[in-house]
Order: sequence, then structure tokens, then C-alpha cells
Amino acid sequence: MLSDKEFSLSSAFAIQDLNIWFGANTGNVRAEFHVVKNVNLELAPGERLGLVGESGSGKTTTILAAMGLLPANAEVSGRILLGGTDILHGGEASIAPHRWKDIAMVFQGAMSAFNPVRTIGWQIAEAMQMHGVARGVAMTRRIGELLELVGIPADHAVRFPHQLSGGMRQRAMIAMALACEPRVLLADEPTTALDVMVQDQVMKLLVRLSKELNLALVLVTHDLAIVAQSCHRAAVMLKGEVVEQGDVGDLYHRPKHEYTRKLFEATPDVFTTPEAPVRTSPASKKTEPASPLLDVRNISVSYPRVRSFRDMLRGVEPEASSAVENVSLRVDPGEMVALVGQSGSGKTTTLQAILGMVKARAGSIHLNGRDVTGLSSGQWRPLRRQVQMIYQDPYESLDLRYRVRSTVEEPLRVHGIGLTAKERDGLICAALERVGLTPVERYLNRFPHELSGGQRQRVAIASAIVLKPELLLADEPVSMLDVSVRAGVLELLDELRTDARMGILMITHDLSTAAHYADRIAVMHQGRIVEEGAAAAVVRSPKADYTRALLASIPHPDPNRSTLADLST
Amino acid sequence: MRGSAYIWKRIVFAVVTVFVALTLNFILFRVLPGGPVSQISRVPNASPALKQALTAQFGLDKPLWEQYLLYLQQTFRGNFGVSYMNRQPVLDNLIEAFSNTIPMVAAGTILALTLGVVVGVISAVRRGSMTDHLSTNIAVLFYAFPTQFLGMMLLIIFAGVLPSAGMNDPFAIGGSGWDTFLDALKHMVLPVTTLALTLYAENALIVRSAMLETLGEDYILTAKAKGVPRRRLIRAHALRNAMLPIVTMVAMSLGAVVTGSILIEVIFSWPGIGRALYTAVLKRDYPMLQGGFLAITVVVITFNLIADLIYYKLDPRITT
Repeated sequence: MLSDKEFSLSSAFAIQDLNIWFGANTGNVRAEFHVVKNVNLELAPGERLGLVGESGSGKTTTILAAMGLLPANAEVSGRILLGGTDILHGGEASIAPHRWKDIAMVFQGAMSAFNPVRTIGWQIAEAMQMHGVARGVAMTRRIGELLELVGIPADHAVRFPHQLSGGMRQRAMIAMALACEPRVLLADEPTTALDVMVQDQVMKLLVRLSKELNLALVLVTHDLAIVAQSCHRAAVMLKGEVVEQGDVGDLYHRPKHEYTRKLFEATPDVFTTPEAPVRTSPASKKTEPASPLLDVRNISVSYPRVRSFRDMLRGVEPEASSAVENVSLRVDPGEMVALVGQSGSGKTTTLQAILGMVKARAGSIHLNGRDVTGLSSGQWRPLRRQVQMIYQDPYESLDLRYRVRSTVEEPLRVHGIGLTAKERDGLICAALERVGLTPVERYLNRFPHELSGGQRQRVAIASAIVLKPELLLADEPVSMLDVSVRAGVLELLDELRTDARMGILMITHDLSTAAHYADRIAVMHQGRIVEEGAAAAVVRSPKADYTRALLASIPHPDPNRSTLADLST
Repeated sequence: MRGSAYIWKRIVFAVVTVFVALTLNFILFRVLPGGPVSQISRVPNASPALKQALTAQFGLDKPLWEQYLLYLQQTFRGNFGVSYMNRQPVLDNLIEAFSNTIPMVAAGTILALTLGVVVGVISAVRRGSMTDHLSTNIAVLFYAFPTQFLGMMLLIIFAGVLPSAGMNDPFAIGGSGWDTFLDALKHMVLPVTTLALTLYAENALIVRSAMLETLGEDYILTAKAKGVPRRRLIRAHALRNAMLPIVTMVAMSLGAVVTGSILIEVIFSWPGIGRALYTAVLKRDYPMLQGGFLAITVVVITFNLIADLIYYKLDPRITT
């Protein structure tokens, strides 16, 4: 429980009547987009506020305005109060002295938010030098202290960003944000790119620091569960407006706004997993099929290491590092199997081995009873019709210069299906209808940039199912999508499973999603499957330690059921 | 991979490349029509006996592998043969030609690099402004100019004001050291300007696009948020990262500069490597050509090796 209500009365940070317009000059016409509308937020010292919303809701724009970091084509009105004084009215001149010194920021991509050619220590030092906070030996000592504060050994200051793991980099980012002892910390999706266990650690760190240093923290995120577990209050943004603001408990138990309710409903909750997965149609009768659709037995995959110069001289083959070790999987027709694990656990490599993109060192892969282990790409070609793939990022998996029609038509042409254009058109329309892009005529001639993220993913699915495959391989099909459209795409996959009896192997890092939609779950860790079983059984009574640890790190959308319990003291 | 391993690998790679070039050089000139014997024996009433004597003198009667070993051995001793044209050792000719070319090319390249980086950075930072449009369009214009056309135009316009040919005034011999230096400097103005103008445009365009890319990176926003002032932001963050692609591309183009100077040296009668090769082609001076090509190959490979080593200094990620 987060009930430490002893805030001092004066507010540390406030946003009042903030309005932001983005101007775009198109020819002679100046178009203006009102992206943030009358936003009001207030934080006491040591208070943590979650700013929740989907992409395009204006949440990041709001906090960038507070830092004075909006691009030149933005127009801002309103007040940003820092301890009672407005820092916005004087423009750059009045914000600059406070930036990073009083109000600092943790950026989204820990991967790209650090300059890759400078050491971590150098970049933290720069922040202090710019504001004359420390210099010389004192500064070096302070860098060490800061790193240790966030749980990084002090000697890591000489390392470059690429030499740290994703979690470490985000910690270092937090250390850098604290360099000038700010009173307010703005965190923009600080854990989005991180694995759930690392996310848990980073969130705990942020909460601890906010308590210890009496920091006012604004946490921008799309994930309600994270906010529920780490913040006192939350503000929900929709299309540039704050539609609801209040205590996290109130928001969860008594949401006033329709949209808040919708967001909570769309957040999959692993802790309320029903006995059987959610079904839009009655569960298929379990008649054990004679042969499984996909039968992977004991495959191992290893990537050769780059041969070093010394190895070359000695004529030694480099040791191969093993990515997948002894993995067995089975997918039956009309079944959805989820392969769950952290990044680097070997999920994607397993998928690539199934598709014949990487060679399996050992083991066998059978597709519909046919041995496909080690087939050449020429032998694979006719089989590709049976197995289709759905990728993670619909922004990258669709060709930007192809209209929807051509994207869906391409696989038909490749496999020589549909002799006439009319026949192909029929198949294309049927596929688009199947994925819910109706009326079809409205979408056929659109380009990807004219579609939303969810629609793009539906187009990608349409181009996969137009071949009527028996097996669908989906690599994190919803992780790049907004929370509220995720459920729609997942339900579509579920319908394909029940109606068309497709077998689906879905890779995901999200145990909650897997628990809700899959029949069976296989948990992968360090290249091995550590646990496999019926979805409900895996999440309700996990056997492997790793599964238990994974479950424990999933934030709960109900603030009263704290998974960060050890912090509420 | 450790840093030293990377450096070793690059050096070994460079040495292997030089060997491949040496071998190709050997083969190429044996495949080409018009061998040295027929060239020298092209005198009235040349007897077969003379031809035979020449063949033996050049060692062309030996088996090919023996010729190859001999060729390698002599090359490493610095013996590239004797020029047909002036009967001087090719090595001496090459050293003289390169020592004339290098000051001119170096001055032109440094000028082009400085101008290119400055112009490219300014247009990237002021993207979309009048300055950007103007400088980008001017750069495209110069990029499109053929070297010989630009050289001719400069020659026509400035011929009266500045010396138009050669490296020094043959009649000014005997002046003080300072006068000789000034005279040489004056002679360099036109060829160096031509070279700099044709090169700067490419550099400016490369720098501009590399800078635009890095300026859009997240770490630039981070640095801005930290309160890093604009100048430092461009220098210490954006340019430092933009240097990576720039180094590669500049190094690749540097090799071409030496050969590209052929046109400039011919136009301005500059007695450098470019003009030496040009005359050697016209006169079928095979030893000179062979030596020249080898020298240029080594120059290109050396520049690429230097680029790799600079890259290693600039990019900490390269060793992983």
C-alpha cells in the first residue's frame, strides 16, 4: 500500500492550463494541431504521479514542454510552476537555469539515449559541468556515488553504453538524471524496452529514490499496472486532454471515465486468469489428432563465434555459443501455444529454426508429418504456403510503397495462386474481411502510412492468411501496439485458431497475454524450455523457479495487491 | 574481440590486399598486347636475333613462376625497372612525381575537407533555412561540374592574374628562398582550387546527411535536456558521431584523389604522378605504368588502413 500521505503542503511542481499547438506549413496554408489541451497537474515533494495514455495522447509532449524541449514549430501557453515560480513565461532564458538542475528527465530508450561514443562517466560528468555543480576529484567521487546509488559498481563509469545491459543502462540514465540533485524527475516510459524482471527492478529503484530523496516523480507510461504499483495518483490522457485524475485506488475500483475503464479492461491480468483460456467460440473438442501439425523434437541451435586472428593462425574453430538447447515443442491443429521468455532466451531463434532460416545443430522438425529439418530454401518454397509468419512491428514489416492490395496479393503471386486478377481479388477481399478491415474497398488502395498500428498489423495478418496456411508463427504480434487495440488483434488470432483450425505458435514476453489466449504455455529461459503445460496450470501453480520469478515481477493493475510490497514501509 | 586483435586483423588484411594487387599487376601486364620486346625492337630492320636477345635480357624466356618470384624479389628491393622514356629507374621517376603531387593534393584535400565539414555542419544545423538551400544547391552544382571543365574555366578566367602552368617560374631561378616559395605558392593556387572545389561538394553533402541523422538521435535530446549549449552539442555529440561515416567515405575518396588528379595535372601541366601516368599511357611505357599502378594501389590501401585505425579510435563499439 502506498499510503504515506505526509506530503508537505507546498507543491514541488505544477502544470497549469498547458496548451500546445504544433504548426505545419503546407504550402501557403498553415495548419495547426492542438495536441495538448488544458492540462493541469500538481505534485507535492516526494509524490509520484502516473501520466497514462496511448501513443499520440500527448503525454510525452506534455513533459517535454515542462523541460522546454519541444521542437521550434510548437507553440505553448500556460504555466509550469517549479516551487511556485513560473519557468515558462520567459521562454528558453527562464527554463535553462532549471533544466536538469531542478527538473530532470529519464528518457525512454536507454539504448539510444546515451551517446554511444562517450563513456557513462563522461556523460554524467557533463551534466554536472554544465551546471557547475562539481568539478575535479569531487566530481569523480560524486559519479561513483551516483552509480552506486542506482546499484552500479562505481568502476563502471569508464564503460561505454554498449558495454552495459539494458537494465544497467536505464539505471545509469537515472544516475545521470540525479547528478544535479533535482527536485522533480520526469520519466518517459522508463521501462518500455525492458524485460519484465528488469522492469520490476528499475521501477523499485525509482520508487525507492523518490522516497529517499523526496523527489516528485512524473511517470509517463502506457502501462496501467506499473502506475498502480508505483504511484500515488494517476492522470489518464486521451487525445491531448486529461480525462480523469485521481488516487490510483479510486481509478482502479471506481473509474469515472469510460476510457479509464476501457484501459483497465484491456490490461491483461495474469492473476485473474480463468481456468480455460478466453474463448470467443466454444472450445474445440479435444480429439487427440493422429499427427501434430508441428512437432519439434530436441532441437539445438548454436551460432558460431567470430573467428579471432589468433584462432585463424592456429587453425582452431571457434567455440560455438549455444542459443537453443534441446527444445521440444508440439502444436496441434486449432491450438495456440505461447512461447514465453525474456529477450535473449532463444524464442526467436527457435522460431527461425522452425522456418529453416537457421540450421539446427541437432534434433528434428516435422511439419504435418513431413521431416523439414535441414531442407534447402528451394525445397522449402512450396512448403511456405503451409507456414506463415506474423512479425512484431507492423511499422517495419509492411513495405511502405505497397498498397494494401499489393501487400496481400504478393504471396498469391509468389505461389501462383489465382490465375486471373479477378480470382485473386476475391481471395484478397476475403482475407481482408476475415481480419476485420471492412468495408474492404476503403482499405484496398491505402498505403501503410494511412493506417493505424492495429490496422497495419491486421494487413500483415491478412497477407499471412491469404494463403490459408495451417500453421501461423507470430513473433510478439501485439507488443508494438497500443493497449486498447491489442485485445482486438489477439481475439482475431483466437478466431483463426477456432474457425479455420489454424495452429498458432506465438512468441511473447508477456505471461499475462499468454495466459489469456493460449491453450498451452512453454516458458523459455537461457535457451531451454524450463516449464510447459496448460496455460492456466502454468500461471496458477508454476513449477519452475524461473516461472515463479517471472510471475512475481509482473505488476498488478490493482494497487491494493502490491507486488512491490516490500517498498510500502 | 580485443582492440589489438582488431588492429592486427586490419593490418594483415591490408598486407594481403597489397599482395593480391602485386600479383594482379604481374598478370595484367603479361596478358596485355604489345609486350616490351615488340615495343623496343620496333626499329627498322630489327632481326629475330635482336628480339631473342632482348627477351633473354628481360628474363622473359624464363618460366612464368620464376618470372613472378623474380618480380616480387625486385619489387621488394625497390627495383621497378627502367622507364622506356627517359631511361631513369622507375622508382626515381615515381618518387619525383609523387613528391610533386603530394603537396598539391594534400593542400586541396585539406581545404576541401575543412570547407566540406564547415558547410555541411552549417546546413545541417540550419536545416530548411535559406543558408541550407543555398549551400546545398551550390554544392550540388560543383559536384556536377566535371573537373576538366572547372579547371578550364578557372584557367581562362585567371590565366593572366595567376600562373597557369607548371610548378614554378623557370625564369625566377636565383631569387631568394622566400621568393621561390611565394612563386611555388602562386603556381599552386589554380590546381588546388580546382581540386578543392570538386571535392568539397561531395564532402559537404556527406557531412550534411550524416549530421542530420545524428542530430535526430535520442542522445542529442538527452544532451539538450542536460543543458549542453548548442556549440558543444554540435561539436562533442553530433559531429563526434557523424564523423564515423564521414571517415569511411573520405578515406575511400582519398584514394581516388590521387588518380583524379590526372585531369588537373594535365590541365595545369603539373609534373606529378597523374601526368606521369598519362604520358606513360600515351608512350606505352610499361615499367612506368606498372610501377605507377602499384604505387597508387598501395596509396589507396594505406588510406583505407588509416581510416580503419581512425575508426577504431573514434568508435568504442568496434571491438565487440
